Amino acid sequence: MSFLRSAWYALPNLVRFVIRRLFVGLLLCLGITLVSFALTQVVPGDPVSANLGDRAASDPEIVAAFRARYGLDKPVPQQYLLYLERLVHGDLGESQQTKRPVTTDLAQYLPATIELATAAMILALVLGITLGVVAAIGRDRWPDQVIRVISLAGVSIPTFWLALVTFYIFFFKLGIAPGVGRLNPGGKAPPSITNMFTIDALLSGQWTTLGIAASHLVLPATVLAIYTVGSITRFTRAAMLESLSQDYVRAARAKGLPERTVILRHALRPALAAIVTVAGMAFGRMLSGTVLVESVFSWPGIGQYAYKSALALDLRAIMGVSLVVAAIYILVNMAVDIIYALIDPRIRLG
Amino acid sequence: MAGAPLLSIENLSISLPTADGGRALAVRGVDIAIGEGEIVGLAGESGSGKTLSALAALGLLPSGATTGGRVVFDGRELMGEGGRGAAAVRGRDLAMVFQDPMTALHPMLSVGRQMTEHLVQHRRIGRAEADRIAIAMLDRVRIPNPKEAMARFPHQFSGGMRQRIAIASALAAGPRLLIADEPTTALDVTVQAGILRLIENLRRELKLSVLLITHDLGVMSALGCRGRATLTRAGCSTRCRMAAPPITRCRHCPARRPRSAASPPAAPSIRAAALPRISAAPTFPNCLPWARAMRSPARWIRSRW
Ligand SMILES: Nc1ncnc2c1ncn2[C@@H]1O[C@H](COP(=O)(O)OP(=O)(O)OP(=O)(O)O)[C@@H](O)[C@H]1O
Ligand SMILES: [Mg+2]
Repeated sequence: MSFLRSAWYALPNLVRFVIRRLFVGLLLCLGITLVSFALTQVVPGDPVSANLGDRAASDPEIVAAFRARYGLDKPVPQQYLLYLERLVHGDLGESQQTKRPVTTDLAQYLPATIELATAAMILALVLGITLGVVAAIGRDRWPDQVIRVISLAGVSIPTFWLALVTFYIFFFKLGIAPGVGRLNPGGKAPPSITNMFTIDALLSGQWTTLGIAASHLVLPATVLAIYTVGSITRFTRAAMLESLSQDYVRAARAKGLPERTVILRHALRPALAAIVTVAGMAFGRMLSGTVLVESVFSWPGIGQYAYKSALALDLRAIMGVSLVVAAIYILVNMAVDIIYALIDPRIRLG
Repeated sequence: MAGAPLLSIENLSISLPTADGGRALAVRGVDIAIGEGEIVGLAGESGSGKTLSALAALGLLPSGATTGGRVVFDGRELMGEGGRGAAAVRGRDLAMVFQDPMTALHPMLSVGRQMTEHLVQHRRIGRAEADRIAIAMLDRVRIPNPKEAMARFPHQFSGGMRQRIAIASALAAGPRLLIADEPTTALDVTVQAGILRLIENLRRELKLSVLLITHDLGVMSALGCRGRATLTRAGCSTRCRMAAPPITRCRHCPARRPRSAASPPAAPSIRAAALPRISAAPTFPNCLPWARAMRSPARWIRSRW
């Protein structure tokens, strides 16, 4: 026992932190399965009528077969335990719509969403931090005013509307955006490695495919990023104004450092620590924003999958999606905490 | 002091924008001259504009501040031309240590980084060379294990140690003049003497000029700025700033200052911020009141301020 204890404390801080967080995350996921299972039980609506046609639903034999196939004939607690048992073996059950294992569906749809959300997040961070820094430096002068309007617009324009309008303008009117989907019609997907087409194309050196996949990514990612650009810009501006007024920034200037160093090293760094936290939360928001963006751009991602599953009361699919999204939240939060601690040495992980 | 002083501040005045769109004269008529290797004290009560005067010399006044008078460092005009004059000497020839060591060091940058970044900048030397200089300087200010200290962060040091680090950082670039802005005010009394002794020793060893800002005349006398000191004091509010005649010209004899000056005219409509009135008093060794003041500063202050 004491051996275990000393072995545990011999581990590097970071490793201990990750292990502890993963353990807590596991418990959280268990809770999520319970909640999502309970929700699927209490939602009004019957998976039988949602999935079977009228004729089939009126045939008791077919209904019984359907219920037996998806375990709906067993008592509810037993259904849950069965679900957990399969889950431990990496089996999320079978989707009633696609008639495929939910894990297979997720492996197909999730990477598309991750690709989209990550591209949007990178864009939002780069644009938001840049605009926020410029606004803080030019405080109350015209760059600040212009950027204030931009960020206000960013947070107030509804994402769904923006998606429709930009698609209409850039595709129908100007014809510079490629069509919907992840590739041109009939385009061949790159070899499946991560199922993120840009990454896969890059890894296998298919430059044309890379260009096509990237060009399809630009518009949806931008639309998805706009809200976050606005919020990160505002937040960065405030955090920069705060840190620019600190004594240590004045001290950095007194040391005769060039203004660029003062801003980018001494002032931005403390601001970044705060921005990372906001970005982590924004990523969560972005994942839910994908539902709308994906449906406008026919992006075959998890958002669309979740939406269709919800309509069809496809219980296993819904639970699978909730579980995976929860896991992503947990991992992103953990990453945020680690990055925060990397930026600010006063924070100790653990 | 032979020839021109290293730093001379002549008739410096600083006015700051106020919240209601007006301007407040925060510093007025400050004269300071510091020769090579000399230590000069600048004393005054809190809010009398000591820090602002120092920032003016560095060209680091808050935006919107306007200035009058001249600041000349080694024949170079520091104010005016958009502060470009000050930018050329800042950190390189003219270094400053700030009032509060708890906030003046960057909390997220290692001591080593903060000790060397300006060295690399000003002296065009490599990282390794800069590290060597910084470690030597940390050793000189008596930071234990200077090599390891380089990798640590400010929060891992006590207030006194942080001030030593700030001093080491300021001096690492080899400046000719150090402005120490109340370097001991934020510190425990037990560490204060150590820091002051350190500054005095460094001044002698490095042939440094020092402008020591303090509101403690005892500190001044302890540092041996007996001969030369400048007093600033507040005593004028926004309203009377232009109209009132200089309250003091205590050239030779502070005792001549009118008593009434001790309490600024009450101006009910004015925000609590009483605006400072500055008077310069380069004193002379045989000025009797000064000698008296320095012998028992605390009593002197109480009797005057
Ligand atoms: N950034 C600023 N904006 C507006 N007013 C300021 C600013 N900095 C200082 N002041 C004002 O200028 C006056 C002089 O301030 P300063 O910091 O120079 O005083 P000080 O003599 O250094 O006092 P202390 O001994 O407390 O450090 C004060 O009335 C202060 O309120
Ligand atoms: Mg001050």
